[in-house]
Amino acid sequence: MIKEFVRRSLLMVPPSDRDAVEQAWTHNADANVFDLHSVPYEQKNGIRAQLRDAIPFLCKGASEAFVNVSQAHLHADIEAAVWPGLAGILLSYPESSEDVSKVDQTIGEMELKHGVDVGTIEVVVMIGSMKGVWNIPEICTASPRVTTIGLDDEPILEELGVLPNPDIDPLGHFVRGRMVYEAAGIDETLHGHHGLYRLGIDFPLCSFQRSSASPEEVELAAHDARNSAFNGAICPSPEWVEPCNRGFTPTDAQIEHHHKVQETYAAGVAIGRGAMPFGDGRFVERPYDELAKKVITLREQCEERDAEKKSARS
Amino acid sequence: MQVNRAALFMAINNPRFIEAAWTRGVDGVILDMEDAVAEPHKVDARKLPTEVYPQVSKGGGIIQVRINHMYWEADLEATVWPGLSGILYPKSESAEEIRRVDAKITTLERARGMRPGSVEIQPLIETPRGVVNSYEIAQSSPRIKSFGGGGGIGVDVGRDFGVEIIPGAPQAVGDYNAECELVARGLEMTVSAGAKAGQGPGGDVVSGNIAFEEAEANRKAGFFTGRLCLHPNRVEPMIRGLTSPPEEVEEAAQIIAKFEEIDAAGEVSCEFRGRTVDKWEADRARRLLEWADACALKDRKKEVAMKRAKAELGVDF
Repeated sequence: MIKEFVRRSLLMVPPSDRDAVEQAWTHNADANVFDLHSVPYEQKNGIRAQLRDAIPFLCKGASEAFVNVSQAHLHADIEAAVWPGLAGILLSYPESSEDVSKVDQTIGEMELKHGVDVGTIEVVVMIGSMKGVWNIPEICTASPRVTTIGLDDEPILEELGVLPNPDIDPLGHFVRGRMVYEAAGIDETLHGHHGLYRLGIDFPLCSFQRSSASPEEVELAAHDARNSAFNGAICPSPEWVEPCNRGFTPTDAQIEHHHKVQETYAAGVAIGRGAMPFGDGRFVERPYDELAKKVITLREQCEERDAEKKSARS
Repeated sequence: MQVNRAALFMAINNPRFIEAAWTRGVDGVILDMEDAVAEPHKVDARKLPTEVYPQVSKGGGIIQVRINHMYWEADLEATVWPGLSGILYPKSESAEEIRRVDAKITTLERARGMRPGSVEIQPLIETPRGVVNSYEIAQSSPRIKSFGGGGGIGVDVGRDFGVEIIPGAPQAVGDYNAECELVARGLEMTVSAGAKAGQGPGGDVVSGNIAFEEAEANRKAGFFTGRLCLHPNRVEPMIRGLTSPPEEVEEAAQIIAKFEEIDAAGEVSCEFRGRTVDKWEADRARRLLEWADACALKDRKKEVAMKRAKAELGVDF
């Protein structure tokens, strides 16, 4: 059984940098991702051999440990990654249900072989091609391990041969919109969220200005991404972690607003009304009350997650 | 062509709204049994339709009822009676559930002496799963004559995503009405909510000026469909904004005449007052004239109904 989670920040950790691996947990990410996929072929075997020992560092301080595997080296990568302590596998660029099924099967074999509770390792699918975007429904439903879907913009932009600009983000509406709807439309409701967990961030930080972004810019982008129905983001560097943790957590102002919505709606129900005036010509009805409950619950879940990490680090 | 430029939305169990509904000049009313009726009052609300229908339709407006997704069967039993024009089925998520609703309405129409197939179904697409399945939902019943999104700004969709839909903000989740419109147009159905529509029930629901701007933008974009009004202030501006003014009607007639002239001469296009006139432009002009005629007929019917109601009740306003 896969446990409930809040994952606002998934920090990519370069496996070849031993210090980065051992210190990853100190950046306070909700999850640390051992980026095996980015390792050059000739170094892969050596890095795979270090993976089992790296997992305790990745999940220290109540962070969660993930490994980003390559489809080209699926069996070897998963065999090296699935050990006690691992929360899940990131699968880069699946394009069909078969791609996911293979991963599901291999993880199952390795759970048995390495003494990991069967069915507990998750799969995060990172969509990185237009074919993958088109097949999101079958990719999302190919295995009960798939809890999360993310978007890697760069390979898709490369495939399309376009660069986004401040006026036109070619992936904005179709790709991100398609992804959040398909993922949220999945039957199962996990972790108090509707459908699958969704990772993503909007233009410009999604593509080419990552290294120069200030913490304020990242936090604002994360805040906007949350408004576009994303739950968390891949962090390319440690500087992204805290702004993402903050940006994907509902703000004090939002919580205050939603408490007011709840109070107004409750006052209406008390006098037999289903719709109540809310100022500025607006009304609140049941969906507003339900949204308020959801946002307030998310804030509580985020605070619990922060407390859990703080306690594990003290 | 059914004209429903402004449908005034009200809780079916609010006597103050119900009594005044026929005086508002509406094309239709939407009697709500869903969110506007608090849970403890749902059962009592089901006793009201046969009493309420004659009251609200006195001014010539059609009657639609928004039922509850969860209590669809009991709500249909309560609402499918003579006088009902259609039901709004909220949070539609699959073709199968629409077919169930259709079958139930068919049974009730037979049992209650109503013309078979007369009650329309308007599925409201308000959840991510509904958006994903919108194409199959739109084709699921011959009772579906128009199709669109949820009619508002997407509060229900936002609730599922856990985010507030902000009118005008660039949110990937806020564009689902456009997808539903594509479905409607692909299936040659009437679009039930226009892409240009901005503020709906989630934003300012009182301003008549905003209602007029929305309606005019819809009409200019070729969306001859109205929207629900949560406040009577919006009714007249919405109708005015969606009714083609005489100068547009006159211009459409001239465009058609111009096209017929060049068509007879074997030409495909020409310039007329700085714009190109061709087959497509002529088709657009014909749709506009058809809409203008239907609006005029609707207004005439309402006028007659209103006159009769005033005379019967001995009132004037």
